[in-house]
Amino acid sequence: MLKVNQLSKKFKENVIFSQVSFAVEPGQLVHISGENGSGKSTLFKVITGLLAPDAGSTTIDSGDVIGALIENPGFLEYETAMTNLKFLADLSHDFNRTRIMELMQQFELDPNNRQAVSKYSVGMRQKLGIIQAVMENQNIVLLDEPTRGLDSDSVAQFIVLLHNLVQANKSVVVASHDHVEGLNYDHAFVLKDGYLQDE
Amino acid sequence: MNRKLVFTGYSLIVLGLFLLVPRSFPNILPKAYAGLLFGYQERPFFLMIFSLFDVFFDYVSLTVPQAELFSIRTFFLIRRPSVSQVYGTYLRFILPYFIPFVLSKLVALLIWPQAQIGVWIVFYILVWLAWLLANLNRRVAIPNGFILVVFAGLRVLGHLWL
Repeated sequence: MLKVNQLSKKFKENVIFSQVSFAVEPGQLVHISGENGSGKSTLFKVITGLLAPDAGSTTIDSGDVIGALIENPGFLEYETAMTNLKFLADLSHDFNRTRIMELMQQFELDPNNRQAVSKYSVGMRQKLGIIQAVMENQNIVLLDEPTRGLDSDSVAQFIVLLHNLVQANKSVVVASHDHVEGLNYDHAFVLKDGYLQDE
Repeated sequence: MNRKLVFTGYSLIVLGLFLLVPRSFPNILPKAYAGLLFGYQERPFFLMIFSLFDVFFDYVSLTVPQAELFSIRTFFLIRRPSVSQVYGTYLRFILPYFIPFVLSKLVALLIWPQAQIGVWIVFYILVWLAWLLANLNRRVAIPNGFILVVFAGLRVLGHLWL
């Protein structure tokens, strides 16, 4: 379970968000909407520990593992997709080739493609970013603008993936400036003027 | 193309040029020959070209893996790896770049096995590792041009002291 308690963040005098609180139970799908620059990515960075909050805290249960896709995904640009995914999975000693191949095939990425990731399109990179966020069975999944650059078939696959994650009792938070048709959220928030409100 | 292969190819070109030096300059002293790997020569032309290739070799041996690791840094840190996991993973990734760099300096010991060469080798290795670790611990990458200036500066020091 993910609990966000009164999180605040500012850069110098620029307040990004204040007193943001929400919780995501296992098996819940939550949406955070907001215009570009509203602070969604920064919120995810604070939740994942990439940035320190000015106030507040984030708590997860013992044994919970966070997976996240935040902003434009960066990779080992001159390595293959599989090498990149193995590089990341090896960190947690949880490289499961079979699962990764299934995820890649689900998103119509060829696991045996020897092309460097630098040659990938925006959509292909996005798919790879989504895969790395879930491939180690992370049970809290944060996805920032996950459908950016995806074609309609890939969006459909993404929706199937999210349904599977929720059914597998994962906590999923999607942040995007628009709504993805076909997704039913348990909670929907909007981040506006630095405050998180019910939509 | 895979950068490790490109880098390996470049390493072999630099090695080939280095091995050609005694053929072009049969009377070169061992100290001067070994010193080419740490300093520079502005003349004759062939040695200047080798010096430039070798400075660039030092530079790319560091900046290529550094840029790659910096690029994937966000996904890396989200996983909250332990210190040992971080360095273990980094080490595996940088070895194809670090080993040729170290070997290229160790060659100097075969040519002129003196303590001061050993000191320079250790110094170069420490600078290389310090740059890598310093950059990976920063939120903003250190400009590559700055790294090139430092490596060029090291060559000036090597030229003066060796």
